[in-house]
Order: sequence, then C-alpha cells, then structure tokens
Amino acid sequence: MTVAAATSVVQASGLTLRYGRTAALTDVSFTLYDGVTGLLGPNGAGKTTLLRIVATALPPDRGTLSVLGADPRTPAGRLAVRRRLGYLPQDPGFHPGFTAFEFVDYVAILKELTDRRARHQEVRRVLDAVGLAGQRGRRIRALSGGMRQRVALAAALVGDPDLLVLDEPTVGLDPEQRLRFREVIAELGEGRSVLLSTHQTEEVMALCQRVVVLDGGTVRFEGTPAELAAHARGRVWTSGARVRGALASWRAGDGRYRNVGDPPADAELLEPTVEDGYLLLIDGPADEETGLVHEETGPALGETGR
Amino acid sequence: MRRMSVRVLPLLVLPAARATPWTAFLAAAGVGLAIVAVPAAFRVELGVDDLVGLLRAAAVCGALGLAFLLDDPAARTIATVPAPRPIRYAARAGVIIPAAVAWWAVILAVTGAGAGAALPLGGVTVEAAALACVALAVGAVRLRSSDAGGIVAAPAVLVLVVAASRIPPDLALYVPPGDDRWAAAHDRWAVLLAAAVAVAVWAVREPTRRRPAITAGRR
Amino acid sequence: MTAALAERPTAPAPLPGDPRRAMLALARVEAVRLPRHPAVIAGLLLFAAPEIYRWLTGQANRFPVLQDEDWSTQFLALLVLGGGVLIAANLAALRADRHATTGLYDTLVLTPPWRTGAFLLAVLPFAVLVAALIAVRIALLALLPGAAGRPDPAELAVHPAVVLLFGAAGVLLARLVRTVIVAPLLLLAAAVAVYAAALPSLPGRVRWLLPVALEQPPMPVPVALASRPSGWHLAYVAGLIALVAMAALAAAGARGRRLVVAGAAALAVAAGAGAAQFRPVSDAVRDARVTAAERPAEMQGCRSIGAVTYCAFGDFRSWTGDWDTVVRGVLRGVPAEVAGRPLVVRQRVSTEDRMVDGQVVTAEEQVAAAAEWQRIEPGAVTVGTRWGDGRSEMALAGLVAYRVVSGEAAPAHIPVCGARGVLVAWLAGQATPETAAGLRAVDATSWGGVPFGDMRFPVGFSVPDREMAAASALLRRPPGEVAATVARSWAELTAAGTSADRAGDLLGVAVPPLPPVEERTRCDG
Repeated sequence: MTVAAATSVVQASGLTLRYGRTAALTDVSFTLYDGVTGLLGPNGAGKTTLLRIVATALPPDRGTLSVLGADPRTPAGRLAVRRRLGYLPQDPGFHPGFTAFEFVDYVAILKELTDRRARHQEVRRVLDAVGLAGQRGRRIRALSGGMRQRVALAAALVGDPDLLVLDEPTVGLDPEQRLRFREVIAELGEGRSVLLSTHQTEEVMALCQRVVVLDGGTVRFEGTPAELAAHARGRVWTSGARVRGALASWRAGDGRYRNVGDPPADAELLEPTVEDGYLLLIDGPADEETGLVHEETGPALGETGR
Repeated sequence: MRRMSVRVLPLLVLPAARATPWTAFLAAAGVGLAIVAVPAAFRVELGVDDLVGLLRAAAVCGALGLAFLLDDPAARTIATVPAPRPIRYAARAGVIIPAAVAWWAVILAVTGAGAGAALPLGGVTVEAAALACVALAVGAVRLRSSDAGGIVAAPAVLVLVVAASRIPPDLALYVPPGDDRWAAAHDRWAVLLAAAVAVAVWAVREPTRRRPAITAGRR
Repeated sequence: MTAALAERPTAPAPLPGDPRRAMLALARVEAVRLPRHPAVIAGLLLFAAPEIYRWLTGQANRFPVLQDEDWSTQFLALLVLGGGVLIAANLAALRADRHATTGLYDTLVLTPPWRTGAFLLAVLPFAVLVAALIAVRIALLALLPGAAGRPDPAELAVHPAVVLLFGAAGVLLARLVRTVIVAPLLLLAAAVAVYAAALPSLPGRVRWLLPVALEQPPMPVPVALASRPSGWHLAYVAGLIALVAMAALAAAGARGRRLVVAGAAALAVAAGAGAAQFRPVSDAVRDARVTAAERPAEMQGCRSIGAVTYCAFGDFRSWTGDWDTVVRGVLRGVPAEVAGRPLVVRQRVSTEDRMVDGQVVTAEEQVAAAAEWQRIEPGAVTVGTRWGDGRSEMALAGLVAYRVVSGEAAPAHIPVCGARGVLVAWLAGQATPETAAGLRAVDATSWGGVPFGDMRFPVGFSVPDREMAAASALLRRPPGEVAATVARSWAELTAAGTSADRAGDLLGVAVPPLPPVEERTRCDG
C-alpha cells in the first residue's frame, strides 16, 4: 500500500466555471492524495460542480486538471479517467423497475465490463460490500431510501475504481445507516482515493484524512481536519451567559454557553473542533488570505456579531 | 373547511395553468390538427367515412396529449397541503377541459368546412370525449402511486383504440357512419365515457386507506 | 460484511473491455427487457389473439390464398407490433432521462453512440421473434388442405422489417426529442398515412413510399399476375432502417467516415429501391394478365368429375374438390337427367375493380359486359378466387343453379323473379351447409333482394325478397322431399313465365303478397 499523502491523484489549478452570469467556481486549485478527502462547504458553494468536474461529467471553462494522471478534457484522457472512476451523484436516479442486481449490472456494462460471468461476480461482490446481499433480487421501487443510496454506492464501486467521487453520500440516511456507510467509505479509503462532499463536519472528523473547504466558488482551506480545527484555537470559550459579540453562542448540553469568536481576556478557552474552524472560516469576514492555513492570518472577529 | 377549499379554487386555476406540462398536449393537438387540416387544405375529396376516420385519428391525438396533462412533478411536495386533492384536480380540470374543448371545436370546424354532406359530429364527439376521459382516468389512477401518469395512459389509449377496432362486430365500437349499429355503438361509447369519468372521480380522491374521517395521507 | 472491500479483490477486477463488446452486452440486456414491455406484450396479443380466437371458434377461413395472406397482415403488424416496439424502444432509450440517471451515466465509460447502437441492436431479437411468428403463421396456413397459391418471402419479411424500422425510429426519436409523446404521435401519423395512401382516390403508387403499402385489390389473383413490387419494397424498407439507425447514431454524437459512408449507402439503397418500385409492371405480368382475362384456359388445368369439368388456375387447383362438393349439392336437387348434362366450371379473375366509387353502370353496359365475359367460353359457369367464406360457395351454387334452371350461364346482374327465382335460391341454399350459411349471411345484410355472385364479376343475379321468402320456407323442409316435388314439376318451374305464386302452389309454400308497386323489383328477365 502506498503511503498516504505521497501520491497525488487529482491535481487542479485555476479551475473556473460559470453558469451564465453566475460564477460557480473561481480559480479553484487543490491536490488530492490517497485516502479520504472531505469537501466541506455551505449550500451553493460549488461542491457539486467541482465534483462533477473531477468526475469528468462537466468540463471547466478554464484551468488545468489532472485526474489519475490523465487530462479529462481530452476524449482519450476522459476515457482513461472513467475506466478507473466511481461516481455517486448527489441525487442518483434509479430505474424503479430494475432489481438492485439489474441496475448495478447495467452500470457495470456501461463501465465496459463485458465478460458476463466476471461481471456478475463483480456485481455480487459490490452488493455484498454495501450490505445488500439479501436484497439483490428486489426491485428498486420496493427499497427504502437508505437501501437505494447503497445501491448507488454499489454502482459507484463496480470495477474497483482507483478514485471514488461521492457527492453527499450520507444525506438522508439514519444514524445507523450513516455509521455503516462511514465504515464502508473508510475501508474504501485504504489504498484508494475517495473525494466526498458533505455538509457535516462530524463526518469529516470521522472519516477524512484531508479536508477542502469551498465557499462561494473558491477554496478557503485545504489541509487536515486537525489543522482546520486548530484554525479556531483560542477562539472558543465557555461562559455562563450568552455572549452578544460572539460569532456564535449557544447553550450546550451542560447548561453553559459555548462561544466562538473573539474571546474576552479572561475567557475559559475550550479545545476547538472542526466545526468551530469551519464556522470561523465561513461566517468570518471574507478578507485577506483566509483560504490558507496560516493561523496567524485568521479572520478578524468580534465586531461581526449577529 | 370545505367552503374554504372551494373558495380557493379560482385562485388555483392560474397556477394550475402554469404548472400544466403543455408541451405534450400542444404537440399532440398540432398533429391532430394537421391530420384534419392537410386534406382540407389540399381540397382532397373525401367521403363521410374518410372524414369520420380523420376525426377519429384526431381524437386519438387529443387523448394522447391529454394523457400527459395531469402529470405533476411537484405532486409529492404538495400532497399534504390543506386544499384537498379533488380541489387541486378540479383546478387542473378547469384549465384542461376548456383547452381540449376549444381544440376539438377547431378540429370539427376544419373538418366540417370541407365536408359536403352532414357529418355525424355528435357521435364522433362522444367517441373523442370517451377516449379523452379514458386517458385522463388512466393517468389519474396511475398518479395515485407514481409521478408520471402519461407514460402509462398514452400507450393505454393506443391499445384501447386498436383493441376497439378489432373486437367482434356485434360489440363493435368503431362503426362506419350510416351503419345500423351506429346508435348501439355510441351507447357503448357513452357507457365507456361514464365509466371513465367515474374512475377519474374515484382516482382524484385523497388516497386514504381507512375511512375519510382520518384525513392523514397514506404517505 | 464490508471486509470484502478492505483488500481489493484477489482476482483482478474484470478490466474494462472494448466498447463493441460492451455494446453487445448492453444490447443483450435491453433485448431481454424489450419484449417484457407492456406495450410490446399488448401488441403481440392484439396481433395474435383475434386470429387465434377465430380459429378456436371456427370462424377462420380454411381456404387461405397464400399470396394474399403474406401481405394482408402487414398493416396490422405495423400498427400493433411496430407500434409496441416503437413505444418500448423509445421509452428504453429515454430511460436515463426519465429516471434522472444521466448524472451517473454521463461519467461511465461507454460513450453515447455505442449505447445508442445497443438500443438499436436490442430490437433485432424481437424482429427475429416476429419473423418466426409470421413464418409459423404462414406455414400453418400452407399446411391447410384448402391452402392455395404460395407466399412471397419478401412480403413476409416486410413484417419484421417494419418492426425493425419502428424500433430504430423509437431510438432516433429519443435521441432527438426528450418527450415521450412523440412516439405515439408518430405511430398515429404513420397509421393515418398508410391508411390514407390506400384510398383509391389517391394518385398512383404513392403508398409504396410508406413502410407498408396497403392495397384493396378486387380479388386475389394467381401468383403470375401479382404486381406488388415486393422485393424492391423490402429493399426500400431495409434502406430506411439503415438510414434511421445511422441517423440515431449521428444524433447520439457518432461521427466519422464510416458512418457517412454507411449513411450514404443506406440513402442510395432507399432511394434506388424506392424508385425501382415505380417501374412499370413487367411485360411478363402484363401478358399473363391479358392471357388470364382473354384465354384463361392456357393458364389452367382442368379436371372432370362425372359430367362436370373444373378448370382452375394452377395456384388454386386444390379447390376443385370443394367446388365439386357444392356443385354436387346443387345437382342433387334437380332431376337426374338434368343433373347428368355436361357442365364446365371455370375459374376467372378480374384485375379491374368494377366497384370503384362513383362509377355508374347502366343495365345496357351490364349486359354488354356479361356478353363479353361469356364470349371467352359460352356456357361455362364462373367461379372466383375466394373460397371458404360461405358467400363464395353460395355464389357458385347460385350460378350453377341458374345455369341448370335457365340454360344460360351469364346473367348480367339481373333480378331473377318468379318460379325460377324461388327454385334457384332453394337449389343454392340446400347445396351444402356452407352455402346455406352464406345465403343466411347475405340475406341478413341485403335489402330488396339477395345478390348471388361476386359484384366484381360482370356475371351475377339477385333474387327478390318475395321469392327469397318462399325459398327460405322450402329450405326449412327436408331437401329430399322438396327435390321430389321439384322433379315432378321441373318443366313448369323452370319455364321463364311461371310466377312465384304458381311456384308456391306447386311446391306447397306460402308466397308473401306483392309489395306496393314502388317497392317492387323490376323483373325483366
């Protein structure tokens, strides 16, 4: 197995894409390594657009991109990428009349797995892997939302791809299913590269070796979850009452208030989480160089309370 | 509550008109119009039989188009709003029926203008109405369990038409004008029309499994 | 459960293969799904069920003319088999759009042209199924003892070809328009066009530019006289299939020289074969038509059974025994010395349609046409190229009875009144159960009198309702008893001037009173 962070799987620089007058992505650059990378950002940040570009579904207007050593903007490069890619779209459609097996088999054919026996074996393997061994013959219209999501993941896994692009894979799942999903994804991350988008910071904590924060179509952060959390070091404190000037202030389970922002001098500081770092990054004033991991140039806080 | 719902009806008509997927209907209506208008434009001499045949083909077009008019991608989103399902469908019907009637009037006018002899317009209109209602009824029934009704209703109309033209003569639905069986066949068409309307009315009820006293939707 | 993922599969995962094989694998999956589509199942049922029902209930014609049966189901095949495939193929090709799986499929390896190719190929197995269905049908018909003629393979092949064409059209439509309504509308438009092109008022042979050429020939003709350009038409449809398939591939994004070359070749085939259909009828066929009309004996074989000689075109030779059954049935009702006179029954065809709308035929023209008809062979009784429907049996029985009763062979569609009318109708009705059924069927749908003989021939006659009522009463009695009575009064009954009332007296049946003057049939004959 390769050492994590040694091989770059995706290299993007200066990716820009506009939908008419709306800029979806502006000058996005990042590098993806083996292991699980989380793409974090608010709604409309451009996560899905970026994932679709990486997954060869959408060509960028500008910028260079290398996926698995190939350039997806040329037909040959796109084909090379697609042969080694698994993609789970945000809202995967299903053919309700197909059984789980038929659907994944159909995707496998479209991935050009032509040998019938080997393909069927592969389809059974991925359905087993996502825990649908017992549901292979059931029609998709009879499956629950969580099961459908697993069918879609199985479809992404067919052919043992080197790069998995998963767009909000755990949305709509109940906690138990989400845990199961995380388990699967974590295992996939061993020896492969997984890029997944999410709203949920705890998922990043639980799964990702690296995290990219996207906001307003630009990369605001790239690093490890610990680094993102460290971003908020010294800016999270606890108090007995709501702090008006804080960026966020909420009453936690223990009855005390947890505050993010500029602490007063005598504040009782807390260990920051990824969420705190993310909050500071997104809700803080978007001024100079916040996209980089230099802690000393963090956003100025305090006067921007709610 | 009920009075409130009825008062909401006129307000719903305009949004219903905007939410209706007109493309399919317009395409079908256009083909139907072309079927009757082309011979009329080229002044092809046609007998009553052939003109009635053209009207029947146009009626099938209309039914095919209507099959898609009840489709509503937002159906699931608005399934639980207070305005009951029948009211929402009534608003749709308030848009669809005038459009269909206006189209059929144009078809009859175009065909009738070129006809020398009197055409049995009443009978053909009953056939067209029956086909249209079958299309709407099948669509409405399908929409109880799915988002897309037309996909089933349109082929169902075609199957019905072909089947109707192949049934034994003593039960025939499509009989040539002037035939002795014309009146009896149109009684059967009227029965079909009534049955389709009944099914459609049943299909737009709120989908409840128990008695209507429990108003919660099934989903 | 998830341990399978931790290590990558020990056997290397199947490597993505070449697109051609993937296309075949996809076509295989789609080919299995296609016949399972409700529209296709409904089409198969609508195609086969009425025919099976007719056979099970004994309403089917056991004397099929194979050169007609081979193409007479083409329009139905277009409508229900082609239509079913059109809708099913269109929905299948639009499936990804309808179920919003394009987001996923867009990133998969196989490119849209190859996928479209798979949808096109998926129609092939169903077309083979249709071909088998058609082949089995015609084989079963050919096995019937009463089968006449031989089928044209090209006409038979048009059935699966139409299925292929409509399947390809469904795929093409899906690539051009994302709306599902277009396919049913195309089907409807095609059906209307084919039907309209068959109208006799439409000029020339426009109908041959449509996938199926619907014709309403006056009657079946021997194979040698057939003028349908079936081979060229099949080539034309094949060209159309290729053209539509290439268009679908191009619409899916396929480019390249090979596609252009194939498209050009398909266009050339379609245009060339399409034009070739309009070549004038060959001299051989034209000569055969003249011969069949003027000197039918040259194309016929004759067979004598007792005193009766039956002459049939080669294709129809198997029917002479059945003709004989009817003729024997008629002769059973007449005195033995009359029945023993020689008689010739000759099969005739008429390739001109005398039933064209608006053509007014005067009585003088009728008589002239009948005389011209009889000039070929005076005294021969005409039999047509249809059999097994009851009416044809009744027509032959009527003409034989008329010949025996009146001594003339070619009545020019005149009313036969008086005792002759009663006697002829009774003789025809009592001949066989088939003639009786045919007489009942015609009687039920005619007004004023019952016509005997095919209106497309210049020879035939009708028996007015009054005489028919007496004949019907006779038919309800035991035929042997009536025959004995008839034999006793044969001379008077067959005399031209004997009235119906007199016949009623002689035969002991009630004859209805004469209708009011304005409703009476004019009886000149």
